[in-house]
Amino acid sequence: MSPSKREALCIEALEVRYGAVRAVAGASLSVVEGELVALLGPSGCGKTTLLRAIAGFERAWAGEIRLDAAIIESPAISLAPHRRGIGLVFQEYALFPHRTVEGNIAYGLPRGEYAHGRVRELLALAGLEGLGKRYPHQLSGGQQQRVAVLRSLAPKPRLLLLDEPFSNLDPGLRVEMRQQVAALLRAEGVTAVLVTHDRSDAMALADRVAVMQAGVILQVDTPRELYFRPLSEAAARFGGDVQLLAGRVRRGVVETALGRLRPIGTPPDGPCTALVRPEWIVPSLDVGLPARIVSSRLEGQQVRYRIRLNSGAEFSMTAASGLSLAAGQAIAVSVHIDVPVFPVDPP
Amino acid sequence: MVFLRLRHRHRPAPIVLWLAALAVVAATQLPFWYLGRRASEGGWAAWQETLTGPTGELLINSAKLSAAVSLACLAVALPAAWLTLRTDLPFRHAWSVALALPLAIPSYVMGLTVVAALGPKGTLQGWLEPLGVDRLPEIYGFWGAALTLTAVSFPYLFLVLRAALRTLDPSEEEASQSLGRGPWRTFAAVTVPALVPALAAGVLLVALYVLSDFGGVATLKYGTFTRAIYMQYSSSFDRTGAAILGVVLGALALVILSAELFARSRYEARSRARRMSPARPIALGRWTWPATAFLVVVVFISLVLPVGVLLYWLSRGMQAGTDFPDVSGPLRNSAGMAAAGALITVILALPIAVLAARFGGPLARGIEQLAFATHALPGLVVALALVFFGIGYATEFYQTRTMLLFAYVILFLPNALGALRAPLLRQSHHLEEAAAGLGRRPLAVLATVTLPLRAARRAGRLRPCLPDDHERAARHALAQPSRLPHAARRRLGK
Repeated sequence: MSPSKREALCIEALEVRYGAVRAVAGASLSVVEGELVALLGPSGCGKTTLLRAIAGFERAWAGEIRLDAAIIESPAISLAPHRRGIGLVFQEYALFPHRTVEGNIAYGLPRGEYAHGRVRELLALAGLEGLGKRYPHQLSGGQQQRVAVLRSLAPKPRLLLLDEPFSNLDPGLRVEMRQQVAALLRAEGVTAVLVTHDRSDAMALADRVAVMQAGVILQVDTPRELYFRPLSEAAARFGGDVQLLAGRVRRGVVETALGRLRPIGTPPDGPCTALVRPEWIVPSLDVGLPARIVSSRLEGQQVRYRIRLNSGAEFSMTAASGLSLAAGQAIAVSVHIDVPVFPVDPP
Repeated sequence: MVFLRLRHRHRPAPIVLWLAALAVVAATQLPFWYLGRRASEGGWAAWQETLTGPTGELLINSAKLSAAVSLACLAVALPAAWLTLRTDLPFRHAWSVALALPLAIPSYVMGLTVVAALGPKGTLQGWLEPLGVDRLPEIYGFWGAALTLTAVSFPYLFLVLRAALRTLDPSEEEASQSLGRGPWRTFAAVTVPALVPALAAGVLLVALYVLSDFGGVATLKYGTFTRAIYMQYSSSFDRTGAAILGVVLGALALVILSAELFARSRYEARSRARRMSPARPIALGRWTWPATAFLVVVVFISLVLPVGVLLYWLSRGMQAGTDFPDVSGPLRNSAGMAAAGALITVILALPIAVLAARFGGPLARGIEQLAFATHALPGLVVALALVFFGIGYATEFYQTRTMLLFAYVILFLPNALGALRAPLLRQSHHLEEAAAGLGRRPLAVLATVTLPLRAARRAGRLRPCLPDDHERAARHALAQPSRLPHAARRRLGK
């Protein structure tokens, strides 16, 4: 994201309505050239509608969408979908069942020698050589998925949109496909917006993540920023597990049940809520507040503990499974990073 | 997963379904059995005598007319179905009703309309007379018959296509647009191929209907096979000749049936589960007026003109002081029988449609194609078969409503099948599998999930209830109390 990069897509205060329902209620987003932005949000938050509006399949009720500085969608202007040069990869792929893999990929290309070469190049890029003559129903889910991406990439779109591209894949394949698709998109250098409700999809793939809720975009940041420095409680929930502590800011320090923590920035004095993700609590034998393990549950790579401080306050803590702490064991806990602090909403 | 093949051939169909389908299809084959008996009565000599002479020419005429009308119906019905279902055309609902209604126009009424409008001393010539036009191109013959039959039979295709279009997943079309192809090119490259099974079924209905039509070709004096059969029947006591011609017509129907089977098998394997969200209507923009004009022309020719001609004849009759017969009785009769016939036909068609679309296999396919075969038979042949059957084997049913309902079933079963099949093929199996997974037994799944598929039933029920040439001829031969179209025909002095 060097500043020299051009802005490719710009969405300003966009509103899309279905009757009286505001599916997108004033969303704004800017995507620079070559960037991959993930739209992350729960189902029904309007992210797919926003994507379809960018593609030209939903009309704007207010606001506007610009592509390379030209308005493509506004209440007054709506460029036809096929004139936008925006590729769209569907959740269910929507491959043409009556065309072969080659026929599908070549669909958006002018007929001729160029199309032939481009199809071969893309198939090789995705490791699908030899499948060109097959029909979609003869492919596995992961192969169909890659063909759908290749089909959209073939005409070199100005922008590629992906709608929940991994939701139809099982978890193992999902991780693999995520890497493969990411590699494909980077190899083609395409600007892309990806819609997902899966945090790990967004984190693993995107340069920046746009968190969307109830039709608005709450925060757009790198995965790292979103995880460590969310701007609101709602945004914090999209970055990872959330544990909120009531606290009070006094002279640049947050006083909480977990002791005195360093806040991010300089919040004003007064009552606040501090975010301490379970994995930010670090256990040791002697450094920090004394605590006792109440219970533990293995969750694969990590163990989730319930801990109790001497004050009686209980917290959730996760740690690597190699640590192997037993229930009843006495430990000491501390938090070493600056924690996000949110003002308490007036009652 | 989406594109996995969804025809589960290994899943056996409930035995009740097989029995029901076999019973229905066996009953509908009665006319063929009759034809076979009759045609074999005279031995080879009768065959030779009948098939020499102009038979070959008649056969070619029938085939030519069938092909031309099928193409014309395609040209009308495909754009009409798409416009009324997928675009923002104003009054789409009204249009779709108006486009289905010509099914209710008997083909001889349409034929009379064409003659009245385009024939010598017709309306058009009257208008052109001041301009010095004293002759129009000949309307009697091939072109007149083709126009007439297109006007009355395109709704078959229209309704089948609408049912199929409604269950089509719009995301394929959207994918095409996002790849840079406009609405028209998308329609040609994505929508039409997806409609092939429905197109084939609809064209089959139209082609077989044209083979069997009598009213239209008789009015426009075009010599087809069916007309020849009718002449044979009415001109002599010996019906062997007509039966032989009927057998030949049945053979022609088989050729068309196998062509449809071929077209279908190529595409059917790829039918699949679909997202069922409705498509966003395509904005027609400046195309709104040409599109509306197109529909205006179609509805004007196929509905407004014939109704107008009927009303004109009616008013002229009344002016001339002809006593107007009370038709309320026949009207009630007509409506009641139509409703009962439609309901029974759809119910009887369901086991066959479900069997063929859901379980597949050569036997189910064979049953389905046999059920379609009767569509090529002129109503007269079907009716005479039933008369023969009634006199010989079921005297107590002869000249009863039961017999008439039976004739309706034989005549309209293919219509109901055509409409039921396309949506069934396109509907996801997952719904039924979900029901099975929830502990429903196969028959219960059929009753609670397969049958309520609304699109299928709606389209299927609409069609058989409308009177056409088939029905009129059948009623005539079955000597039922006079019903409306029959009475109307007498009034028209035909």
